[in-house]
Amino acid sequence: MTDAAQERSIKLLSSDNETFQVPRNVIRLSNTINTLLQDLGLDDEEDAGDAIPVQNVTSTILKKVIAWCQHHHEDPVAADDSDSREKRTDDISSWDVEFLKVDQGTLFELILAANYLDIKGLLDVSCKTVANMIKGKSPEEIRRTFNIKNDFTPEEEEQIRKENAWCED
Amino acid sequence: MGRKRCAVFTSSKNSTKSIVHKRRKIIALEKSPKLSELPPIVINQIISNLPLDDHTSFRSVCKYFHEEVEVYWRTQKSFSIPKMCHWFPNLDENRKWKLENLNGFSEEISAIFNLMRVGSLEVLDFRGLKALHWTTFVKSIQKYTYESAPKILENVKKLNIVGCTISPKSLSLIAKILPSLQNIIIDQNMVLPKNINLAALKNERFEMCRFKTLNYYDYSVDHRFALLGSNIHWRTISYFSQIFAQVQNIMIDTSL
Repeated sequence: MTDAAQERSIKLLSSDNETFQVPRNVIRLSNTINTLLQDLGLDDEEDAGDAIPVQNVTSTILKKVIAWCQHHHEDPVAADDSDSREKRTDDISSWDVEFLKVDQGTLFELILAANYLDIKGLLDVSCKTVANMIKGKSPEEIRRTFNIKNDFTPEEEEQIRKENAWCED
Repeated sequence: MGRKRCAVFTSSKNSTKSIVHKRRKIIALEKSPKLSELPPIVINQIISNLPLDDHTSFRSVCKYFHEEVEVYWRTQKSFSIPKMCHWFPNLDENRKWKLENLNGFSEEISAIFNLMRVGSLEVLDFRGLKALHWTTFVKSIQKYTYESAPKILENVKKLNIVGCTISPKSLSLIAKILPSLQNIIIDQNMVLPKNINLAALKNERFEMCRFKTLNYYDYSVDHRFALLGSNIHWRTISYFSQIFAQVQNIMIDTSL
């Protein structure tokens, strides 16, 4: 990417038709937007033209996603060696902890947006946050926390109990 | 009196506002996605952040999560010491000594291989172990799967034994059991048998250079591979190329 390309802005259009002007070097964290701009040959254009529609992401969520990218766009790129490194969920930065102190609906919408826009760092940290909410809870506590219906038949539940008994031995 | 009526009116206006606000909040909550509505790729990433104990609870919540935990294990392609520490956090906490050799956590290895699909493993990464006793590993992985080790490990393409002390006998056994092995990562301090035939090794080295069938890389700390111009490791390379005839790439981690 050229210096001029890094300095310019990209317009994003939320699902509820709000336009956001985002610096190119901030939105580079989204692989979806990068691929789109490259495929359309717009990455080196002075004016990227019309706003890029970001379907399924509301203005409230897109605003938060942009704020996350703004804070993290200068972070060093992490090496993709997830298998050789130990996965940790206690290494979330204090800024991210504060950023993700939102209601469950917002948290899941952020996850969906991070997944759609392919923002690896945001997806990682939000999934870790959900994992931390699950850790140490019984199935019933998980159901209560996340408002999930138990859809197992009594026979299936019995089968799972047997499978779990093996794991706990 | 008028003032009082006005106060009542204001309070009623506030309570109407509050009801509208609450109703909006409820509608927004109803519209927002639930954990059980997130796509499988996301659920899989959440599962990958959970230790094994929590997999048991999570798979018992609903059919969707049960299926996704199964998928997570069916699609596991690598075994590594950091992964074992993640699945079993108590190995990492106060019992680091357990990780020095496979005997310290053979039961945990047996449990993991029982969850994985036979033949799906592609990477065996023993980095972090001090002593790799291959027979112990084979016994552990066969314990609950009731399958033979060659069947379980038939698709392993990459082996990392950096920092491990390993006997020549174990190396020969590994070569026999891993027919698909293409890449092996070792370190420059690997202890070689004293009685190896250097003349034969030298010939072997010339052979591999002539046919360029074997690549030799520096497996540096940041995992950027670079072809080494130096010949300082030729003895080690030759030794390993003799034992692992099927291997295409030998990488030496020079960071140790």
